[in-house]
Amino acid sequence: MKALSQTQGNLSNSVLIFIGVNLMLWNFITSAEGRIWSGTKHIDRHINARLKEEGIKPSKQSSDAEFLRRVHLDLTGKIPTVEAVVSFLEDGSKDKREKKIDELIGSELYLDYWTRLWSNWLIGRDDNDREQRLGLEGWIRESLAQNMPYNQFVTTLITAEGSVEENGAGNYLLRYDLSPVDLAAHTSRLFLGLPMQCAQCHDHKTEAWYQEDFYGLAAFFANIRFERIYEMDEDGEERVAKRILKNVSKGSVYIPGTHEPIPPSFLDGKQCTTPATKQRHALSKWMTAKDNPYFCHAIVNRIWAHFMGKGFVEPLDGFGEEYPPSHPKLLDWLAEDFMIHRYDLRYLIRTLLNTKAYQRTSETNKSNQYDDLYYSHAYVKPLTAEQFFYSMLESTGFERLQKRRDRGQLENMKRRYLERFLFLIDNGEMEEIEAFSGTVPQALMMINGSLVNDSGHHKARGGLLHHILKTKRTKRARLDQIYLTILSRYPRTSERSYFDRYLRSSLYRNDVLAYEDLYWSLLNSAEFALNH
Amino acid sequence: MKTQVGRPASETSNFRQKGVSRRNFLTFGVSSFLGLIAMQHLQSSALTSLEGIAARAKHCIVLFMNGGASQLDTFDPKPDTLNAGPFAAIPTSAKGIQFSEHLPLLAEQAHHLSIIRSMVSREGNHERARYLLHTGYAPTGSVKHPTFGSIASHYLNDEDFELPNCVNINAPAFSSGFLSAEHDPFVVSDPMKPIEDLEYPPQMDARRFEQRLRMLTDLEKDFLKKHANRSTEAHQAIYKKADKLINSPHVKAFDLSDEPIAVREAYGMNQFGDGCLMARRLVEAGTKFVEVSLDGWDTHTENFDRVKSLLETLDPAFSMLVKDLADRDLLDETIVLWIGEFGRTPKINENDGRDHFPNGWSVVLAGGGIRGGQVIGSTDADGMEVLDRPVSVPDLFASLCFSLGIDAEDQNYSRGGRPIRVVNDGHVIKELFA
Repeated sequence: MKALSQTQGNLSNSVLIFIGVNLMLWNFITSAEGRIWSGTKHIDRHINARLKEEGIKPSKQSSDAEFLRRVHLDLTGKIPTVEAVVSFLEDGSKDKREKKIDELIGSELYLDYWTRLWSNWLIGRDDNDREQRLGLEGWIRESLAQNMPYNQFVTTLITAEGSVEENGAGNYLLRYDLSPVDLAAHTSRLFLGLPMQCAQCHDHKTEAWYQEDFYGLAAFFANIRFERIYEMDEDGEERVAKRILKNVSKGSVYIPGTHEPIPPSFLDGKQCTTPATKQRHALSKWMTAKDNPYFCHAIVNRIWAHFMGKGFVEPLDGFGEEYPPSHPKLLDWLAEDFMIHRYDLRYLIRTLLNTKAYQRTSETNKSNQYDDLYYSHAYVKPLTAEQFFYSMLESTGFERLQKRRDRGQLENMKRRYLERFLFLIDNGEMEEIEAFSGTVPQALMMINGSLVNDSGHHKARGGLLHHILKTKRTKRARLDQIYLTILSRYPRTSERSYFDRYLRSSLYRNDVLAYEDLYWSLLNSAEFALNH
Repeated sequence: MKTQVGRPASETSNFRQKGVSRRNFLTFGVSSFLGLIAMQHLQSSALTSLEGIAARAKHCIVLFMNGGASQLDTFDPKPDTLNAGPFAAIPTSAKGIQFSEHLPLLAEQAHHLSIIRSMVSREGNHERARYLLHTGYAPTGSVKHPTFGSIASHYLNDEDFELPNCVNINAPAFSSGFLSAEHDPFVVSDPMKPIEDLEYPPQMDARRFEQRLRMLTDLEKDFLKKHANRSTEAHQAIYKKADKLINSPHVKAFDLSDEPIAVREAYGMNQFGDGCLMARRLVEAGTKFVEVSLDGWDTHTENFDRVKSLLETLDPAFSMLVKDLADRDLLDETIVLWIGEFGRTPKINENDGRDHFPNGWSVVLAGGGIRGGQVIGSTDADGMEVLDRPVSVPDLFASLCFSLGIDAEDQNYSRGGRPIRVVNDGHVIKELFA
């Protein structure tokens, strides 16, 4: 196991001393100058120095509209409402971006979105067991709402025991059927960024991971058992009342074709001597230890990739020799800074979002148009299926259209739509699925589907276009409203004159048909389908 | 920005900034890692040509047993051994070949089937194995390989054909990877229901739609110009394809209400049965590739109850598909493949289940010029090891390619510029065609 030893030294020694100093420094800056994020400055210094080295000129800062749409998509998973766009554009205060970031982090929409994100990361999109997902999501939401430190978050997931009804984190273990190999594969990928799942059947081809390493990790999960407690319901039928996770001490794992059980051992090769019933605690302790070289790196890299469109290490579970980080020092620094700030995910996100690097425009210049490595411009991120779907709900005025239905019906309708939508573009792999790459069934839905057409038909009462045409009487105001609703910005002059030409040249006797075409075109455009 | 993932810094920037074409890239990158890979590819042996046998399949149907089906309880029974479980074995229409007792209808078609009992792979994780059995490659992280349906669509593409050339029924599909998005599978989530959104909404017609599409193209031009690396073409192509489908007479192939109810009942009248029937109709219409999934094979617990019920679904559908294709003279030009991501452990676990087993499992082929009524390879008495003729997943893919007339040695370029063969290191299983 050679891979572990390299980054270890430079982290642990300095950390403890550094924590104290840094916390003091942090407090000082906070109180004296309002909120200047020293981490934010550090990131920009590092990124800009690197750009200079490479001779790449960064793009300028994003416009307010561009920033607002991006920050909404990244933090809440959908585009902003028209009201949010207009008031942000009219706000003249200098620190409005910073305030917006603060407002969104921790908001209800943020909690909804990050709950979905985390549940997808933890158990994928497979929705066969709704109870499991809801149980897990309930726990995630609560943890995010109280901003549970990330090390504690992971520890709770790994060590869950007792009633799953009481501790929703246990659903993570249940999702993998308590299978030691599946849990080892997923845990190492998500929490440590390590591509170990192939070592289930053979030694890793390019990294120094052996089958023994993998099964040593799997052995930590070999002692969980699951018990259902039944009770009689009113009709005298037996039903599951409680599901209990228990620790036992008789489980073992074997490398296929061998007969010698593999004892639990950490990825640095040390064997675990903790009694079987406490093994998972020992594992989480090792994983979240300050000198573990992967734990903080993996999450910092994942969060960075979410916002910046590319991780320092790609793929996200590619830590090792094959995929060296693009900015190794910055990654180390961020990991350490995250640890110093008590594994506070909101702190990490806030620091990152206030950087100039995050807030650049996605438009490229001659010098940086081919850069996809140094963050010279905001990288365009295709909307994920969920982002696309929830943005579409926003821009079709779905809720207003369905206002006669009750809440439960509405949520059910949404879920059915979303399920279908996910199914259409799911690629069978447990990763973010993108809406933009586009498939024919998806195009069919966008061309003919009722979600798009009901809201985009000028006669559909309560539909968005109907609403706009009714409340806005001038062409200018109508165009404004359509663009604000779908693209979260005002139309450009060239776009206004294009529409004039379209009106003149179209064969329609009624102008409203041209508005229908405009509404449809914008909803189907690349600008809508991309986070830029 | 996902297209360039994980490539070392220097290579990426050189490649992009100098703007060299993919082919040129090879010449200046020869000393690099990529160059080495390319050289290895050039040196690897060419596929053995099979004299006197011409490719004759024009279509391919894959029946995918999601979760991994138990070979001992289906096509490689081990009656009277410790691992057998409660199922008995029955004789089939092919002399000397036995199936599980729960496949009586398929047993009557065994003379059309070729059973490979010696599949071997090294992927025992669902995700990885599923990827392998769809693409022919183990996942690497940096390259996204196309699923075989997309490969078939790419090579057998008929520009004038209005239906999708690659259809997946009952389950989400893997993507076209580094091939063009137009070869992405068309996914039918439930064949028992009509395909949604196949018709224009009120007040829309082909002419107005064309006008709309022009507006879309015009309006997004400016955005796409300012954002390098994005082309309008792929976006437009998908919409045009969808529009062609909407206006196609062939679209009736998706409509099972055309079929006599007795036929649907013979197929089983369930999602999998209807999926198989839809596959037959699509092939008749001209679709090149159809995959139909049957989920539920991950039987770590209660294996025998669950497998028995799965076989009651599989048996009528699979056997009717083969029979139907044969009756319509389509079997010879359609290669049918029954696979899952791996097999299951011969040893029965403490929960009366069977676990993942990639070390020796079975797949079944029919049609497309293969010789039916034969078994290729074997496992030992208790099923734990392959005794002879191990067959790899690339071998299986090379054989599919051979049957369909696709050059398995042909190379396409990954998004990162690497040349990737259709099949890497696969050898046609000659016995199939002999």
